[in-house]
Amino acid sequence: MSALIELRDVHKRFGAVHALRGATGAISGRITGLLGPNGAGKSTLIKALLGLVEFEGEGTVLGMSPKTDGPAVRDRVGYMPENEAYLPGMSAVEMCVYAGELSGLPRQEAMQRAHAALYYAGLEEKRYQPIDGYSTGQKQRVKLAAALVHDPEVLFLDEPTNGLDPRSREEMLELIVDMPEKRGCSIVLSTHLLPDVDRVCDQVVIMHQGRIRFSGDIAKLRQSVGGTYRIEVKDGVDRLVTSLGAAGIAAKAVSPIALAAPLGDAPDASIVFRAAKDASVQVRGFELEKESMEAAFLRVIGDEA
Amino acid sequence: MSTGAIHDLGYKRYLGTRRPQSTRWGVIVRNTVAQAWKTWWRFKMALGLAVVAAVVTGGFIYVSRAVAPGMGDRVVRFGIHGNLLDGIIALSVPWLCKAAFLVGLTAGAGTIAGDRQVGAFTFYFSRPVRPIDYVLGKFGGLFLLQLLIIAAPLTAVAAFRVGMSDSSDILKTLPLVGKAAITGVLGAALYAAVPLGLSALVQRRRNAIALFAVFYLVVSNIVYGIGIGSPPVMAFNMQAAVTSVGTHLFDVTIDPFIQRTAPFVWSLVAIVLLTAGGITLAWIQVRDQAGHGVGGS
Repeated sequence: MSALIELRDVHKRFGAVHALRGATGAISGRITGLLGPNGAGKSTLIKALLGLVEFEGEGTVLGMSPKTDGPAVRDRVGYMPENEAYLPGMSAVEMCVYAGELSGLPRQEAMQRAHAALYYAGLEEKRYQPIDGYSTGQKQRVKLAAALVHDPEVLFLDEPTNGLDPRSREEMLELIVDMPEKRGCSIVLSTHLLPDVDRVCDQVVIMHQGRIRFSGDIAKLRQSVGGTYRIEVKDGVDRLVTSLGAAGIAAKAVSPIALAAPLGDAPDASIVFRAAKDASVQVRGFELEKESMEAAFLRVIGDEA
Repeated sequence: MSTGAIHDLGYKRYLGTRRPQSTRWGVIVRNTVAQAWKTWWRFKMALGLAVVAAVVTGGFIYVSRAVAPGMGDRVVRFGIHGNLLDGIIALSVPWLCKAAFLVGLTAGAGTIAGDRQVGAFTFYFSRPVRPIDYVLGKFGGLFLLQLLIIAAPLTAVAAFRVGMSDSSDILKTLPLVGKAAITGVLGAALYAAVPLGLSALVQRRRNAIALFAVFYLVVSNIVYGIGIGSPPVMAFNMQAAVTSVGTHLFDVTIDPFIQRTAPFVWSLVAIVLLTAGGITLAWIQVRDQAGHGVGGS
C-alpha cells in the first residue's frame, strides 16, 4: 500500500523562525500518532498538509499536492481542531450540514450524513440545541462529527481529548479506535498525551526542531530495556529468584507475583523454565520488557537535541 | 467498552459528485442570509423600517396623485424640483439607507470579526473554502439582505408609481422601475461592502460594530460637512452618494435644506470605490488570517 502522506525535505520558514527543517517521512498507518514537544513543527506540518501554508520541498496527501491542490486535498481530508471552532447560534445539525455542504456534498446528502455523524459521535439527543450551551465534551463530539461529515479518507485529530473528564476521554478514544474500521478513514492523532498514543495508535511520527525524528511502528519505537524479561508467577517469587541466581542470572523481584530477569537479547527461555521447575514455581507470563512511551519519546528527541 | 455501543446508522462511502469549488461561496451566501433571518433584531427590525418607509412613500404618492391627478409636469413643490411623484420616491432613499445602516450594524459589521473571535476561521479554512470563497459568500449574503432593504422597497414603490400613472403615461414612466432597481442595487452593494471591509480590520465583533458606527455616524458626517463646500467630497458620504444617484436617475433635484446631494458621476465613482475597497480590504485581511488557528496556534 502506498503511503497516505509523504514528505520529502519539507521546509517552512516564518521570517526568522525555521518551523520545518527538511521534514522527510511517510504516514501509512491506520491510526498514526503525531508527537513532538511544543515548537516541534506539528502545527506547521498540519497546515502544510492541508494546503494552508506554502512550503518548500515535496509533499503529497492521498497522492495530491497540498501546494497546488489545497482545496481538493481538504475535500478528502477531515480536520478536528484543538481550539473551539464552532459557529455561535447554530445547532449541531446545522453546523454539520453546513460543514458537509462546504465540502461539496449536496444538501440532502449533507443532511443525512450530518445526522449519521452526530449519532455516531453520541450526540443524537442534543443535536438540535444551540452549540453555545454544550459542555466541553459535547463540543469535542460536535467537532468530531463536523470533521467526519464529508466522508474523509484521512482525519487529522488535534488534541481530541483535551479538557475532557476521564469518562469522556475514554469515550473519545473508543471512537478513535472504531473509526478506521467503521468509517473507512485513516487517522493522524496529534497529541501530547503519550498514553493516548500508546493505547490507540499503531504507528507514530515523532517531530523535533522541525524534523521527523522517528516514523514507524510503535513496536519498533519502544526498544527492549537491556534484554530484561518480565516473568510473572502464581507465587514463590523469592524461590524463583534464588533458583535463577543459581543458574547465573541476577533476577530481582518487582512485585509479589513478578520478577525482572536480564536474559539478553537472544535468551534461552528453557533456563527460566528449568529454574521454575526446580523451584516448584508456576510461570504465568514471560515477555520482553520494553521501555515506556515516555522513555522512548525522550530518547528519540534527545538523540539530536 | 465503558459506555455501551458506539452508534452507527450504517456507513457508506460517498461516491457521488461534489459541488464544484467555484460555487462553494453560494453555500456561505445562503448561510449568511439564514443566520441573519433567525433573529428579529439582526435583520427583520430593519426590514420592518424599510417596509414602513416604502408604505409611507406609497401613501404620499397615492395622496398626491389623488389630490392633483394631472401632476406629471415639472413643478417646484415641497422643495422638490421636478416631478413631485418621482421626487417623493427619491426622498425615500435616505430612509431606506438608514434601514440599510441598521443591517450593516447588526448583520454586516460583526460578520468577519465575529468569525475570527469565535475561531470560525478554523472551521471554514480547514475545509475546502478559499479566502475568496469566504469573502464572496459573506458579501453575497449581505448584498442579498441589503437588496431586500433598499432595492426591493424602492423598486416596489417605483412600480406603484407607474401603476398610479394615467394609462397614457405608463410607458413613459416605466423606466422609473429600472432606475429604482439600479439605485437600489448600487446602494445594497455599498451598504454590504463597507461594513464587511471594516469588520475584517478588528478581531472582536463588538469592536467591529463600533468601528462601523463611528465610520458611518462620525467620519461620514465630517465628510458630509466638508462636502457642503466641496460637493464631490460629499459623494463619499454613503447616504448622500446613494441619494444623489437616485435623484439624478429620477431627474429631480431636491432643495439642500431637505437633502444635500453630490454630483452624479462623483457619486457613482464613490460607490464603486467604497464597494471595491470594502471587498478588497476584507479579502486581504481574510487571506492573511486564513490559516491561523489551524494546527492549534
